[in-house]
Amino acid sequence: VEAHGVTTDEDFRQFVAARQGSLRRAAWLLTGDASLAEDLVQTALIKSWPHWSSISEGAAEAYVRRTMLTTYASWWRRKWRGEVPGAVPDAPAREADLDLTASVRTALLSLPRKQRAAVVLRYFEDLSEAQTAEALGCSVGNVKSQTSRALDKLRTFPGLADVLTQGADR
Amino acid sequence: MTEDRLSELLRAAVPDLGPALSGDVVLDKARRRRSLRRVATVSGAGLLAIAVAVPLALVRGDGSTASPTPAANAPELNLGTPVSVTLRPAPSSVLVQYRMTGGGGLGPSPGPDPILPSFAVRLYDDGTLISGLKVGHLDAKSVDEVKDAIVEAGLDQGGRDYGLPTNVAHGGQYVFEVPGVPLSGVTYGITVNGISSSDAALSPDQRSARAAALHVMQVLSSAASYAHESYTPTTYSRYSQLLAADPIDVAAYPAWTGSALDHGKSFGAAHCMAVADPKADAGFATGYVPGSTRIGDVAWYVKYDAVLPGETPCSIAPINSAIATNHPVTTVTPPTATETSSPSLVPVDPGGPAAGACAEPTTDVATVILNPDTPMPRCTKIRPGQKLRIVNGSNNFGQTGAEMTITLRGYSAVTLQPGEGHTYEQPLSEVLAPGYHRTGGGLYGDAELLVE
Repeated sequence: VEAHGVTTDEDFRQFVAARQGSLRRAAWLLTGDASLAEDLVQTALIKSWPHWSSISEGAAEAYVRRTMLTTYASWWRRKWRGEVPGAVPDAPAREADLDLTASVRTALLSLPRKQRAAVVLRYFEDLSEAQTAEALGCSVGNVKSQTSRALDKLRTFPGLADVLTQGADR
Repeated sequence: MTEDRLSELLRAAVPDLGPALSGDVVLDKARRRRSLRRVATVSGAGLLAIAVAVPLALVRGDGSTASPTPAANAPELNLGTPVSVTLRPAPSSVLVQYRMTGGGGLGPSPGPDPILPSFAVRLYDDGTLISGLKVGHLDAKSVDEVKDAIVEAGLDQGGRDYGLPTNVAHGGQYVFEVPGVPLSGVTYGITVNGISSSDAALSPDQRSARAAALHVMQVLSSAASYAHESYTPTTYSRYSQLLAADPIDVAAYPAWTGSALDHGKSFGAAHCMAVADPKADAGFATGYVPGSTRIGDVAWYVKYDAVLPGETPCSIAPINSAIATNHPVTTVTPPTATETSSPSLVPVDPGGPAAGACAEPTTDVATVILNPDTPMPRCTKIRPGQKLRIVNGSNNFGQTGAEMTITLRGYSAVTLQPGEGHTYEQPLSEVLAPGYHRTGGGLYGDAELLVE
């Protein structure tokens, strides 16, 4: 375990202050729950801290994000998280007063976790396919297929169908 | 275009997530985790990394408790409570850290440390020793290693020297593991220097050792009950609420008079879960856990699902007749409900248990508590002829609770208020086909039933 000096700790604090918001939002999209999102980010940060001094400059966020995804995957290997996929509606219908948050949450939670992570990284974090592949520890081709399947599934949900009527490859 | 719109949609969908995380808080927790991990890695190859970290309260010699110094910048952690539990989901190994301060009302030490040399943990599954158990503390840790670990972890608060170097309090940590066996469904047995809980004439140091065993046992039983939790501020907060809301009422257990429990107000803030699962007496003349069974050198043991939180404080699940006769069991009269006499058995639900292990209650009535987040037990194996009792535990863990309507297929729906229970009078095996079933209607997820 590396020694941690004042500088490293201060750098860590600054990183948390600057990036926790974004990480938590991504974590919410992954978990669908604010408390779990906070726990997920915090756990990732705690796991990352011992290695902070050895993480190259500029790579901290990628490191924490990767740790977060790994942690997220390990949490959900067991099914008991109260995570129940939302039912796919028989006849998707657009409602003007659609609760956006609930709708997106339901739709995302209906996805397998890897597809969900791919969507979040690609479309929330704005990562490239290569960056997403690196973060998920898989190939670019796998990212493409995961994303494609995810979008197909999301298109079946009210409120998302219109948004996703076109292909999503980029 | 599509991806842009999806990005906008995702960003717009995220709700307000509340106050920002504090870097100081995260740092504090990271330091603690590192300290515990260091200790764990000392305990031998083959042990998994830390799955559980259980900082215990300081048990003084006079039986009172002193909590660890609250960490700076960690306001969400209620370290004023004596026990904190941290767990990862479905652990198969546990790290327990404990410490005691000497002095107080204790007499002089008779010599070597009375606690550390023979501290051992064994795991039992329904009374049978699980083979392959590894006890890291005894196998891999010297007193010096323990001392170093305590100092590294910042836990050294002085105290009497009981064989350890001066100014290092009693303490230790151990890791135990049963490969492939989630620790949420096993029975823990502890002995300290071979002292049983029924010894009527203990020296002060023996009392101290006994208190340590009891205290660790409390934490283990609690930890087992929380095996689904993760190392989170939410968990800390919830557990603190639990402890604060449901203290053990020692006076309610007259059989414990004169024991470490009344000697030590240290248990005043512990939860009902810490109460042992009493078994028929098989060797103890007396015991402050009525009906404790001696199995080898195990003083007593606790089954994590033996206690029903959420009812009248400190009621105990009627595991067997010994409990019913020795403990002030609170009986909840089930509401009447029309049972369905199915001409044919209800087929099994698709899928299989998500839980890593199913509890196997031996009582006539198996009890499942639908707690917030996760039922307890998550999965229960139901024997032929065994009845099922469901408790609405939504008000546990400091939660407000809410009404539940349980829809167990084959039975009439039953509406339960928070804390209320219902026993299905018709044994499950007469209604449900052998195999996997789920309770329905829970607020947080169904309990799993494996009908034999």
